[in-house]
Amino acid sequence: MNFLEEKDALCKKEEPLLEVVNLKTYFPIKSGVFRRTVGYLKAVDDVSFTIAAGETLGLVGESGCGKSTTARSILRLVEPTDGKIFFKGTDVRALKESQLRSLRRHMQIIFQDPYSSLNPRMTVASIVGEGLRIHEKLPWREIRERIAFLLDEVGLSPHHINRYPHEFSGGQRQRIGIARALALNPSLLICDEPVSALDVSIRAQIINLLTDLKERHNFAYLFISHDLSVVEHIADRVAVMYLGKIVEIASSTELYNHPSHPYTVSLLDAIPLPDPKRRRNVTPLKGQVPTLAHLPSGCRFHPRCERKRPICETHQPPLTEVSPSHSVLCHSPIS
Amino acid sequence: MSAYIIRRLLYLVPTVLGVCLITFLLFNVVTTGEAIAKQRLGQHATQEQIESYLKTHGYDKPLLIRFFINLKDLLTFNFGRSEVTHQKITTMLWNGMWPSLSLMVPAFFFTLFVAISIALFTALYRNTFLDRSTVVLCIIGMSVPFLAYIILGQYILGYKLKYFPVTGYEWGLGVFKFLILPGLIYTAASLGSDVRFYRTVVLDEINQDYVRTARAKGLSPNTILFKHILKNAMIPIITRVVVALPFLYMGSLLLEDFYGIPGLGAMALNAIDGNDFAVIKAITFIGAILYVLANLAGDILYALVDPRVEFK
Amino acid sequence: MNMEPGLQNPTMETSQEQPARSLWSDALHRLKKNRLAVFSFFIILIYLIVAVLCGAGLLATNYDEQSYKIDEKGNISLNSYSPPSFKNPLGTDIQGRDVLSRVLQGSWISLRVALTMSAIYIFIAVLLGAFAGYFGGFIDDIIQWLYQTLASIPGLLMLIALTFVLGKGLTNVAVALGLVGWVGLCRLMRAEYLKHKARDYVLAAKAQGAGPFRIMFKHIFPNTFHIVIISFSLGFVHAIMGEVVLTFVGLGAKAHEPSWGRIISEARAELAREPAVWWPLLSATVAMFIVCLAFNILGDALRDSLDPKLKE
Repeated sequence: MNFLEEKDALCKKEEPLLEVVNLKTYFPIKSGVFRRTVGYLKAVDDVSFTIAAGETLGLVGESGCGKSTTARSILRLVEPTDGKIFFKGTDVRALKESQLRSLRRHMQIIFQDPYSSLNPRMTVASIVGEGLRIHEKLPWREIRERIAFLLDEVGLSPHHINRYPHEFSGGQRQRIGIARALALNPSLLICDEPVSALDVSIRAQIINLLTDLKERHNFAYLFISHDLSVVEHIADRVAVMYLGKIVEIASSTELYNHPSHPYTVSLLDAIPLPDPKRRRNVTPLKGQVPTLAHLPSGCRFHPRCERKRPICETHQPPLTEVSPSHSVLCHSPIS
Repeated sequence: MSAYIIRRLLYLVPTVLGVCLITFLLFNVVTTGEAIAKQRLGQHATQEQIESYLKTHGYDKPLLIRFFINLKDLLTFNFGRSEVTHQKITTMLWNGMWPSLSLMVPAFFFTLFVAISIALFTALYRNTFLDRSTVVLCIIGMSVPFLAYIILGQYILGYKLKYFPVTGYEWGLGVFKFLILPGLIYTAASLGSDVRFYRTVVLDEINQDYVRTARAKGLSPNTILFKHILKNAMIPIITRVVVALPFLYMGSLLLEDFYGIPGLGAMALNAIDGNDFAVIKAITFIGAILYVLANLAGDILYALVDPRVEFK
Repeated sequence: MNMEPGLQNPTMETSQEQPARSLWSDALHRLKKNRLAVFSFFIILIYLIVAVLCGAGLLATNYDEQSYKIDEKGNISLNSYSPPSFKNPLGTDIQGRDVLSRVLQGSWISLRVALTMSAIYIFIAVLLGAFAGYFGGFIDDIIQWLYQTLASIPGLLMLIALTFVLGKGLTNVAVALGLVGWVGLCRLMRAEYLKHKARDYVLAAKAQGAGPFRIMFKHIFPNTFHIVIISFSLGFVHAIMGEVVLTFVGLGAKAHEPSWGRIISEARAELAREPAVWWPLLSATVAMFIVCLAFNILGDALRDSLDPKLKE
């Protein structure tokens, strides 16, 4: 049950849009007189997954588990340490800076914070039109028309084209960010917690907008969230991440109905139920999340795991397939 | 901590080398030996005179060799002799140091005392008319050119009112009467920016949470001001003082010139007048080295005093 | 900025197009409330108009004309040191030239010096600061080493050494001021770029395919521009004061040039005359004082309204 067989199985179907193989992104920790590297912060440690064209993969985990770094590594906004990234069969890590720039128009990203992700000194027109101006040699009038169209598509008035970001609310700002990502008509959209910084009342609006857009343009999404309930509505498949590793990956229905990893189970338990009278029998996760700089031996989840066995403390668990298209990183998966 | 000090010491090496390199470039590449020779010997110098000047001053050697000779000379404090007085430059530096220090040290610390007192006072009455007018006065004081302070001070207090001798210097305790006027002028000219700096330092501390807590505990304003605020404000104050120390040694160009004090500032001015390249080079280098050392001392002191410093 | 639930409709209720209000106009709005700053702004405007008119040869054209007087015996002599009168509101200088015209011409010289200096130091500071902050690593090390070394050499001595080797004269003084003066702004720019390059909007620009230069100067630079404005405003004061000192030391304006530094330098001998000739010194000092004060106040106000964090 190693990833090669998995890859073979997938290749038979069709070539995936994005294929991430053993991705590692480490940040050096320096100390001492000569600033020597004394260790690594393993933000992303051996992560593999694929996304097919038009598919939505949800990536879920607690904050600080390396979700955002994974997203940024795929776009090479953060330089990965090791591993391979194939986008439409192109080896992204082998690209030169200039080639990378032209590839990036096909992979766009929507950021978590609608405040820091928009340049406060630029108008909506220059923010949304930036990609068009870089990649397409169009007259400014035509670019403006495209921008107005894009604003309309994300539910903003084209009259806002000359305004500055600080004149908008959080939800509107996120719409500007989405329009910017749409401008180049990408085939993969990475949504890095697009709603978690927003007011609860407008989260649904943005999620609905993203679902509508997907139906219209047939993007593939990599949808990152710390909240399994958000991902449930939008994702075809879901990957659960813990401390830099994907611990469970399965189709959406499979994961929500038959979670196999103890960590996934506790995440699902943590989702509040809409009915206040109903109560779950929840055993909350105990202990602190270890830091990425001081990882536990063996299985990274063992200090907090209910089902811990002696082997968990010493050996890293292998990726096991519990059913077709459902894999889990655990010595004793729940069946 | 010791790793921090060691690393800080190691940083000295590139900086000192950099200072050597910049002084070398200034006097060997930006301006050429020939230009210097012409300026020294006058426009009517013959070709032989120029050539012999170049030879005696080592300008005939290749650039790289000259750099290493220069480096060795600077690092061993072998500055040679003045091209005007033919004295040894190290002797000149030694002799000029004392008059400069005798003027600058009392003036500097007096200014420090006055500035901090005013800063504490205005901080006590912050956001009142008194505080705001002090700030305006500081900006006004900063907008008057130093030269105007000197000329007007000397003219009015020394020449017209005859409160102080106009100019002069003597070795020994009698020098006191010659130093008061330039000292006061130094204070007047630096007070504006100093008060502003220390006022911000004190205000920064006043706005900290611990001051609010102390006030809530019912401590008297004086206890808070002197025991809590001043103690914490000492850190930026000490750092600023330590970094300013080399300037005390270098003296003041303008003050020494106007008041006839034979210090390093006046020496630098004479060297400029007389195109004395060797002296200018030596003073620049010494000043830089002292500045680098003072900064080092400041950083280490800061790290020792302030437990919050990260040893990055 | 507003997160009230009422405003979260996808499209805003307002239908007609509103004029865009950038952060700049917000800052301007805040600045307008500071009456002292607005007043300073108009002073500076007048200074600029006077300076440009003088430079264009439309104002104070008689600054170099000597005037003569005829005494009782019918002898014609230079109208030296005539005190302020109806004909010469600020009196005349040693060669009978009108002091008012010379002081007005001084504004043009100071503007030239300040603009030359600013162009040089802002260019160097922004370029090096952006490179050091954005690229980091080896480039950052080199640039940091460069400015730490330069900062180690005492400013005035560095200026003197530089003007000394560049040659005397106003243009070289301005160039020297520019070459020495970039360190402070460069440090600030580096810190800003370091801060901004990690912001999401920069990552977004990168993801859109923008190259490093586009990101550095089109995306990040506008976010740091206020720092340049503040530095430019306060830098003017440095330029004006620097010219005075360097001219006094004998490296700046030549004898016939009507710079403020020249007029003040000559006042030393003029005050010693009997009766004292005080009007050239006072005129130049007051002119300088007004301009410097206006720039200091405006610079402070700009700092408060554009970047409250920068308040030192």
